Parts: sequence; structure tokens; C-alpha cells
Amino acid sequence: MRSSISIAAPVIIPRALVLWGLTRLLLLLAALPLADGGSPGALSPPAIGIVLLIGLVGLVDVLARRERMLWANLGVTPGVLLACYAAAAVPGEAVIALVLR
Amino acid sequence: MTYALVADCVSKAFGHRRVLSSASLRAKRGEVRAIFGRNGEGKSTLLKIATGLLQPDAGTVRMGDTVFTRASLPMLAARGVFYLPDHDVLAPVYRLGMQLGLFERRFGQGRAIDAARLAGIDHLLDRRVVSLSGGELRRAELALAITRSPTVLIADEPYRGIAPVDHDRLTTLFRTMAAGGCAVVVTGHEVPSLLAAADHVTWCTSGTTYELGSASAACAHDGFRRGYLGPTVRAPG
Repeated sequence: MRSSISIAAPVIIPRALVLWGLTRLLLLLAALPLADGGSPGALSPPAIGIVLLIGLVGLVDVLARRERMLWANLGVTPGVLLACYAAAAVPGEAVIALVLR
Repeated sequence: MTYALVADCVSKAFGHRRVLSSASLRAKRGEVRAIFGRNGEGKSTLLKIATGLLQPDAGTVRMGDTVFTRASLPMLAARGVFYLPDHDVLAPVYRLGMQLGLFERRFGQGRAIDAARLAGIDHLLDRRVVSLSGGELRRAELALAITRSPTVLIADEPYRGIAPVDHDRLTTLFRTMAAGGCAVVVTGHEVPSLLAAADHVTWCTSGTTYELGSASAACAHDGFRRGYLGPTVRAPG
């Protein structure tokens, strides 16, 4: 018997990385017109906000993919799913924070 | 008597509409229990409450000696409950074999390939769920339940949308699971198939439930005949 997080993480994290990449790209594109010649990175929202956003959007992703019942029957709570999505965003956000410092 | 899962005296209203006033679901190990009731009488609501997908306005959900003040399906699933709703138990975009594998690794109780063979879907493991037919999907969902090897299986209208020729196979699977010690609760309107499968019949009507006993006792129950079965249905066997 394996833990719920060890079952969910290998499935969720790869697609959470894609979700994070797309979110970051959209934020960058949205920031470009506002940067006014400066670095668009300066307008970047706080990393913790992005991590939380990815977690919440991830839960919507699970619903949209009609996976709610699958995870529930596996004993995987929404909290674990949110944590998997959010965790996937942490390394990238850490790198961005270091680069922008 | 000790039941594997009990939703006791639950009530539930949606807005001003009271669906259940004092209904109970009792799942007993080694038995198939069928819940009958006309559309809108609250069968599915009762199942959702028993599996933690809905919270009751009053009443409790109990599993063994544990009383849950606020049950949730992930919580109950980790303790051995498997809920088979009438749709979307499998994720459409993933391959069937991958999803069966998740249950095998998570709970380590049943082998996915054995379950697939038993349900007759072992040739479909590489297919995405979205490409399965209605009957294949239902058998695939049961393979998931067999792989899980639950202590309690709650199935909402499992016979709906499948060919009559597959009903017997489904009944056999339920009986096999019950013989292995699982507590099986099923609902539906496919009366002959459900009566053939059931050890015990519950009638859900007017917001409450009546325990009618065996299939033959249920068929002999005057109120059940007048209120649900109609005059032509006979007891199996």
C-alpha cells in the first residue's frame, strides 16, 4: 500500500509544470506592454502568489478533466492535489526569484 | 448487528425541497443490498451522503465503530469504500490500464490484470477511456472496483445503459465480490437483474427507507408492489 501523495504526484506534477509554464508565459506577455522599456520581470507578481494560483487552477484542472471521482476513490484529498500542483511551481519560482534579485 | 457502513437517519433538503427526511443505508459484509425507489425519491442522494460526497442536514455516517461528523469520500475510500457513480469514475483522457495500475499500487489488494480478465476487458487496457463503449466502460469501472477490492462497494445504477446480455455478468461480479466479504449496495430500476443479485431489498420512498428483507419478501410486500413494482413483477427463482 502506497501513500496517496506518492500515487498522485507522478501523474499531477508533469502537467502542473506545463500549467506553470503557460501561466508564466501569459503573465510575461501581459506584462510586456506595461513594462514601458524596463524589464517585464520587475512587474512579476510575488512567487507565493503564483504558487497558490497554480494550486487553485490545478483543482479546476482536475474538475475539467473529470477526474474528481478517480482521485476521491483513490483516497486522494483535494488538499493533496493542490499541494502537488503548487509544489511543481516552487522550483521554477525559486529560479525566477534568484534571477530577478 | 454490525454493518460495514451505515448512513443512519439522514435528512437532506435542497433549498425548500426536502429529499430525505429520515432515511438509512446499511451495508453488510457478504451481502448484496438493492435500494429501489422511484425517480426523485432520494436514492442517489442517500448514496452520496453515505459516501461523503454530500453532507446531511441531520443524521450520521458510521463505518465500523467510527462515527464521522463530516465524512468525505477520500477519507472513506482510504478505509475501504469504493463509490461507483453513474458516470465519470474513470478519467476520460488516460488509458484504462494506467488507471487500474493506480489502484493496484495505491491499495495493493487486487491485481489489475486479474480484475480486467474477470470483467472481460483485458484486451482494452491500452485504450483511452474516452474511446470505450457504454458497456465496456461499465465493465472497466467494475474492474476498477475489483482491483480496489473494497470492503464496501456503493454502485449507483450500475445496470443503466448496458445490454441485457451483460446484466448477468454484472450480477455475477457483484455476487462474487459479496462472496469475498464485500458489502455491496446497488440501486437501479432493472428490477429482474437487481432482485436476482440482491440478498436484501430496501425501498426508498417519501423521504424515508423501509427494510423489506429478501427479494421474495419484497415482492410479497403489498405497499412495495403498489408503490413501485407494479402488479406483474414476480420474485426471482
